[in-house]
Amino acid sequence: MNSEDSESLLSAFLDDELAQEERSDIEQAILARPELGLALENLRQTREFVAALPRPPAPAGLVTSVGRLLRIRQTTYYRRLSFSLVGASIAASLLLAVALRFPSPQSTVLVQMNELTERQRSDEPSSLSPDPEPLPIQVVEHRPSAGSSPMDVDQELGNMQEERDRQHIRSLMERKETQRVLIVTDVLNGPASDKIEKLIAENPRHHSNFGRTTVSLGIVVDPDYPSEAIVFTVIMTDAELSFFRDQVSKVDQVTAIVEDSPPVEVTTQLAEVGSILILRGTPPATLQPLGDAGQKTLATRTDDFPTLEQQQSGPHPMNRLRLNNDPRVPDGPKDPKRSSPEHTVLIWVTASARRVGS
Amino acid sequence: MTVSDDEHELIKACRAGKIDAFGILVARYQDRLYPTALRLTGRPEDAADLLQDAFLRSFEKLNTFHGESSFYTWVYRITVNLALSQRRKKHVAGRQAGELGDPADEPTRSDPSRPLEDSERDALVQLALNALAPEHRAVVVMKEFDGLRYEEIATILNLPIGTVRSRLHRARSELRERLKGLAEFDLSAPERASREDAV
Repeated sequence: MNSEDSESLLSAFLDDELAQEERSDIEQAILARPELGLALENLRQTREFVAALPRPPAPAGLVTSVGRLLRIRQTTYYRRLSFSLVGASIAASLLLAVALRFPSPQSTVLVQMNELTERQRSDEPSSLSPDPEPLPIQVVEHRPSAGSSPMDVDQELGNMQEERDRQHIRSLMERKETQRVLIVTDVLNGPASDKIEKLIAENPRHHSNFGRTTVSLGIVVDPDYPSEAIVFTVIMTDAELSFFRDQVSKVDQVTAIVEDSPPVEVTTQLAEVGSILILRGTPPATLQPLGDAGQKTLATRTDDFPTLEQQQSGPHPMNRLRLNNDPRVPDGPKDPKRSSPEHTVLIWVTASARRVGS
Repeated sequence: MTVSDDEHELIKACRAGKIDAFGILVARYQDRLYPTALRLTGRPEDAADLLQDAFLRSFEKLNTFHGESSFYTWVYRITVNLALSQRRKKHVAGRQAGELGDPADEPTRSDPSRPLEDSERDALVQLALNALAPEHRAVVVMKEFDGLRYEEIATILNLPIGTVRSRLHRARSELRERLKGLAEFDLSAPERASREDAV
């Protein structure tokens, strides 16, 4: 046993965490080398210093503050839910009014109105949520704390919403259907991870917001990649995912892309411990009428709903035709929720380039 | 250790949205968890924030708690990992700013020849802990302060036991270097005391 081995085993010897054989080896090494005995004594003393640190009780008021925050969260959830239902009703009324005012595209408008209302319902309480899971809820009265200004309340509600998005992303991470796209780069926080984030942010998606988690030593995201990683959590339909793959493959700095299903324990761990930053992505743009032939359209999807102004100016069937041929636009079904499965895609940008792409 | 009947009922009530039931769990375990949070963060106010976040997180995640461990162990795990993720950010920020420790936080001694008081020694030990990398600090706190076995630490951090062992060794070595002066002082204190008695 060399000197380095002996020293690295001293800690485990002190903690009685060695196998019998290792224990015998280190005992012999200590007898043969007095400096190891001294090192052991130093370790023991260091251990005692830490063990002797005081153990004060928790500060008063923790129970109260936890309870207060939980109540605010629950109230915020209900408040958002009721606002969204009211909003959906108003939108439906407006569309109905437009449909009655312009009878020509009436049937189309009514169908779209139903879909829009349906979609808005299903998007609540979070814009990230295709299928929100109910929270354990207790209806309570929300009493803003004394002296809080409207700005404080807005800030607090904003924070609550971000937390809600985080919570939802965490729950998505634990789903069996979660896929992952593993993107290997050379340098963490280098140009590649920036480009990937930019791609994610700029690629239009129905669920545009996404999460970013920076993990480091202490969380084994992947045994092959024990060092740092950035994990993006994105919700994509098949078509969006396919389009995204194509775009990522064109990023210069990406050396390999490996797709796999993430181990459940890893996603669970990520969901539990990751501090998820919620970032705003790009929602699908609304359809814009095409101008001259060959002019680039501003629309990004074929299944977006026309604005009220567009409804008033009449349907533009050519737009859809043209949009379907737009190479920038992933072909997608009319309603991706019904016919194209959505996936939570974990995009892991790691620090290493050891893995070879497949 | 798994969940007791009483705890099982409380958790069931929490899942049904009963915040008061969760309050009972918080009150039950806050004093056991707070010292760990304090050693992990190094500051009372940060420890209180950490513990609050950990309890909030545990309430939100109750549907993932299946009772394989005690509720305390589960929240302990959340607390440690939350501390790690938060401290990493601060550690990196501190490194970038070139300031790992605030000199104003260092305990000062007007008379270096007098024996260290307990509070001074504790402050120095905590300062040395604060200077460790978050991952090193976590294993030291879990092992030395909370007395966990390697296997338990490995489970909490989702690491191989070998990694826990090597990480703990490196952490202790660094801590020993940082506390060298303190150790020498403490070792020589009895000698000095006996000399003073003789005089």
